[in-house]
Amino acid sequence: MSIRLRLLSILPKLMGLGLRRFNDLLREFPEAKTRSAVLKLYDNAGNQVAFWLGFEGDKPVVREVDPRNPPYATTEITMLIDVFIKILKGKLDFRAAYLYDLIDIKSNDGLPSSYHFLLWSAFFDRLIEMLK
Amino acid sequence: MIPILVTSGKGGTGKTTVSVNLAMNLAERGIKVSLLDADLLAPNTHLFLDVNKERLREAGKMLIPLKVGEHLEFMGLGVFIPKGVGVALNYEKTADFITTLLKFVKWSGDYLIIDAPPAAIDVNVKLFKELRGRARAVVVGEPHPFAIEDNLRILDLLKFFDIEVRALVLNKYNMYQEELAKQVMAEYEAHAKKYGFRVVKIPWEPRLQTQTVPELFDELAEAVVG
Repeated sequence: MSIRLRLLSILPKLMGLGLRRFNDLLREFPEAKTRSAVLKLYDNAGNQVAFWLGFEGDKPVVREVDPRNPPYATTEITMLIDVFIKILKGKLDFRAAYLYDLIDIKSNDGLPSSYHFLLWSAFFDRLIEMLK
Repeated sequence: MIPILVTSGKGGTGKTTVSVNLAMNLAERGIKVSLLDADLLAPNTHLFLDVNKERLREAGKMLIPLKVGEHLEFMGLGVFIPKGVGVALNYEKTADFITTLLKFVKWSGDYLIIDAPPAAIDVNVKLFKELRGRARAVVVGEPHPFAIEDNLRILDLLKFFDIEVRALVLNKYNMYQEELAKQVMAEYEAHAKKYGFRVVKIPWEPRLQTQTVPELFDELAEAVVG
């Protein structure tokens, strides 16, 4: 199954979240205004999709970007699409996935990657809570 | 802020018990204390503390440590990861965590007590390098011949990295045969002269299994801050 079809399988959840409170979520994390992320998802065939998450001014933004040439973000979070789906479905904890070495976090702003991991973990916790 | 590294030549000697009780002893004296759990593979320090599991926050690109009491603050991975999850971090990721916890936490204590990983593994060397020339150390061992060999290796490394050893804790000394404990004590005393540290005996007692007993750590506290 292509990576886009895999993404489609979680689209209803993501759309539901978008319609409900995604802006609230980003606003709940005011420090997120100084951070941004490129979320890169890949499948076993080597296909990739990427999303940019962050703020433009006061407006929270999530948009698809070119995974080979993404815009600047303070953090790049890369994982297998199956891992991401498991996290969104609440079957795998984001922190556990990182500790199992299933997620790679790259820092682009000079702070340690683990610093970003700790902060993004709290964000993912809240995200999963809202998706339930 | 003066870092105090609580380390040992082998695992299971009681570093976490010593770290927490030492931190509490100092805090009860009105000294501002920061406590860091740097044992990333077995981050258990928080289990001894009444830590409020609030969401982690940052201020000015620094993480805010968790308040434990009026004079004590804490930070460690154990608070933020699910219970029972294994840690499969490679050296790079582990070293990266050490950097975050040492340099990117807004520590405000007069002393930073660091509960270190056991033995002379590579992550310890990362810690020693970060603390070179500016830290004090407490080495925790039990009165056992193997412990002497292992702790001599750690003492040698601490000397090499210019970390001042203030005390060697002979932990649970009353659980061992009296004659053996005396022999080990005598050997440590000989090294104490060479390195200039104090040998501090901490007895095993049942209360330490379930609670902190800071008053047992008065002599150690005086050795590290004096």
